[in-house]
Amino acid sequence: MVLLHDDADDILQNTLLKAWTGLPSFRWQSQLFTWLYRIATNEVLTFLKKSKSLQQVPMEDRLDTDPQLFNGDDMQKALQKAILNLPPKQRLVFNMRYFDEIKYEDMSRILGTSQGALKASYHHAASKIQEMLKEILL
Amino acid sequence: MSEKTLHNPHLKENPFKVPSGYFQQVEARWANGEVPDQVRSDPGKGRRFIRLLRPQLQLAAAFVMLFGIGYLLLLITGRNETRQMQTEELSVLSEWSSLGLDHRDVSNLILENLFEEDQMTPVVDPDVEDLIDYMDYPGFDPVNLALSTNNE
Repeated sequence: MVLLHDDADDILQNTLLKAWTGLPSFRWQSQLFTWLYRIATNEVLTFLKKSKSLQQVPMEDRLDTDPQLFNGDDMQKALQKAILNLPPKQRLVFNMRYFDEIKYEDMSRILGTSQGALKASYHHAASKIQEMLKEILL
Repeated sequence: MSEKTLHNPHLKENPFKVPSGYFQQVEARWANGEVPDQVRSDPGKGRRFIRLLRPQLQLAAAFVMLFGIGYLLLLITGRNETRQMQTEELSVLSEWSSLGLDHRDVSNLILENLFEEDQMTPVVDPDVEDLIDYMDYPGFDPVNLALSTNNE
């Protein structure tokens, strides 16, 4: 979801901090994994919302300019650039389903969205990515 | 490019990398207690104490409100009663003053009335027959009773 390691660090630290402070209020009615994932996704979305206005260098340009960051081939780079162009929530759904292969049922619990909406969101994102990949790679 | 591009398993591989020893540095940074600005400036943290106390505060506020409403009601009705009593007293006093009476006369009048009431209670000597009927219990012997007592 975020490209820079420092950003990922901050998000992870915030997530763990919130999980630690919120653990006494955790009722064990849901899985710990789901709960932690939910905190993390909320943190990521909040971070992206905040950092949107502060970004000076577009994220997709960093894939080309930062050798410490990216190690993939052109196809993988094109895919990542296409993903970065998705809206944050759609990007989240796509990453969770495509890379982490999380079930829609679990995604529904994590994101608090219906499975139907998630499926629609994923297929919409996938078709958009296909279109963008065509443009980038041609 | 085919429609099945996304089905390519190669694309699912993680293309990102981290500098060597990066995660060790992260742990070291966290161990040193360095907190990112985002965490430090989190507006929710300052309100955590209030958030924790919110249910208790709400309960206390509800009690205070109920007591306040009750007190106000008592105050209002009490004032009305006092006002009513004062008005009644004043009307009675004005009535008495129109008759040329003051509070001493009134108290004397009340005392006299009470005395008169006591005087008006008739004192009647009991009938002997009634007394005997009243005292007629098993084993009662009026003759022996008269002999054994010194009544004249």
